[in-house]
Amino acid sequence: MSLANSEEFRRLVLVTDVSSGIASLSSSETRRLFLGFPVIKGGHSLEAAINRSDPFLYQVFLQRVVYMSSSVYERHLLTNVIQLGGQRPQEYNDIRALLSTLKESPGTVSLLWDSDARANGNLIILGEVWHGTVE
Amino acid sequence: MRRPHDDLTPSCFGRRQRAWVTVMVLSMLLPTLSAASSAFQGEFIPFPQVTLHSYNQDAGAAQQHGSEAMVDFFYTAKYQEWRMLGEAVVSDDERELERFTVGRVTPGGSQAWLGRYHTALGQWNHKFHHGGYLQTTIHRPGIIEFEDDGGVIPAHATGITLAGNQELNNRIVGYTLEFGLGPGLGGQGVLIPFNLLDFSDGEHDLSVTAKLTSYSEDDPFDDSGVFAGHITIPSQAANIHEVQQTVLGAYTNYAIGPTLLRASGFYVANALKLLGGADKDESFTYAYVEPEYTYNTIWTYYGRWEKSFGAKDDLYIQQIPSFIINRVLIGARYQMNGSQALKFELAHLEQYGQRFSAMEVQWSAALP
Repeated sequence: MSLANSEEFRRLVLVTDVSSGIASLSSSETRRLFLGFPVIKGGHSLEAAINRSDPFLYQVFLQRVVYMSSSVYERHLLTNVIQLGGQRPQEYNDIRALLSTLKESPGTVSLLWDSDARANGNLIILGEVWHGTVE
Repeated sequence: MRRPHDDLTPSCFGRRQRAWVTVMVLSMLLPTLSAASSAFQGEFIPFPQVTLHSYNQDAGAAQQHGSEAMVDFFYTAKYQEWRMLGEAVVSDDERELERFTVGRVTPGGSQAWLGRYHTALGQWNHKFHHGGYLQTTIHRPGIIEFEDDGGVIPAHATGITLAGNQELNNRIVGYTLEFGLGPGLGGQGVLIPFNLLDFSDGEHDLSVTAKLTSYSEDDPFDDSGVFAGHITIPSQAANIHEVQQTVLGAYTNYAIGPTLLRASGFYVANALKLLGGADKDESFTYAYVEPEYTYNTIWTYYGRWEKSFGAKDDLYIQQIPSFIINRVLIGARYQMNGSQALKFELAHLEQYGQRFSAMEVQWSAALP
């Protein structure tokens, strides 16, 4: 069976900058990181950056990483910040700004389409979150 | 059910106003500072809410039906490992700096804070705050209500907090230790926490509180904890010189599919030193169970059963008539776009000397 021309096979991957010195993240570490709980890896305190440049990517992230709806996730992040202070994970609507943060702030972890990740030589893929076809 | 803040007297009003202006100006300046330095990050989040109520209690019409508007201004800043967080409430009858702490949080999660904090007693003080948007229900359980809403154990203290966590057999075990100045019992039936904007506001003594928590690495929302506290409460109430309060308790949250079950139990012992030298030892227990059923991404239905045993006969509890001794409630939360929620709640409750039913609707939000 062949795919229709308008369908495209895509992989959603977890990435960080090579200089972070991290090779992998387990699914529970990934979830805890994006829920705002502290995760330390390779001596770095990791920071989550939320990619909202693509609505479909964000929906996959909600379903495959944090397992909650958008409103419940946003409430949870607010709950975390009123307890511990600091800041909620930064959200990026512009992928260039996200790539810039990943490069300039080692220890920042985000989600990208595989094609975007491979187009940036300074990024290392920590794991695959989802794959499938997108119309 | 909020009562007017009884210490808002004309003599201290000018000083309070100046202090408030200072806090508000700082709140406005800090976001500017945060924009100026990338290492300095901050968030300013106002949590507004409006509550409409109708009670069938034996009281004047103004108390039976009415509305209350409130805004909880929350600000937090981060500079490297240093953090600051502040929370101030402004409503028709209250202006209060609820929290103001400065601390250090290491990458390993060890924390040290100095300032006015929410105590570790129960789970609500750390998970929620004064804004209504984050919690599912309109009201907190009676045992853990804030002091000016009929609370009988301290929700606020001012001093030092130490906290940290450790990974243990696929679970994260956290601890919190707090040493500070707790509330005093005012003559008008309300606990008065230490006021950072007016040090002369009431008498205060040592409050020591602690909590141990545990949650699974795979599911941080299934968590449990035990807590304890010993608080010396100086009293201005008639015939009571001082209360030595000991609090012990436990809580758990357990999710089964779309249903979350929150439950907690408290044992409170009050050793009263009466004027004239006599002592009186009393105690009571309090428990609540709160099931929350998430029907879909918009509607959550909930209920809560709160029950005390022995509280009615406790002389200390009798000094705080707005304390909710027993309550049963059901409600629904409607999640709207843009971090807004509508809640509808029906309750039957008992306070000292009266029982009544309540119907309330609340709009709440987190801005922007």
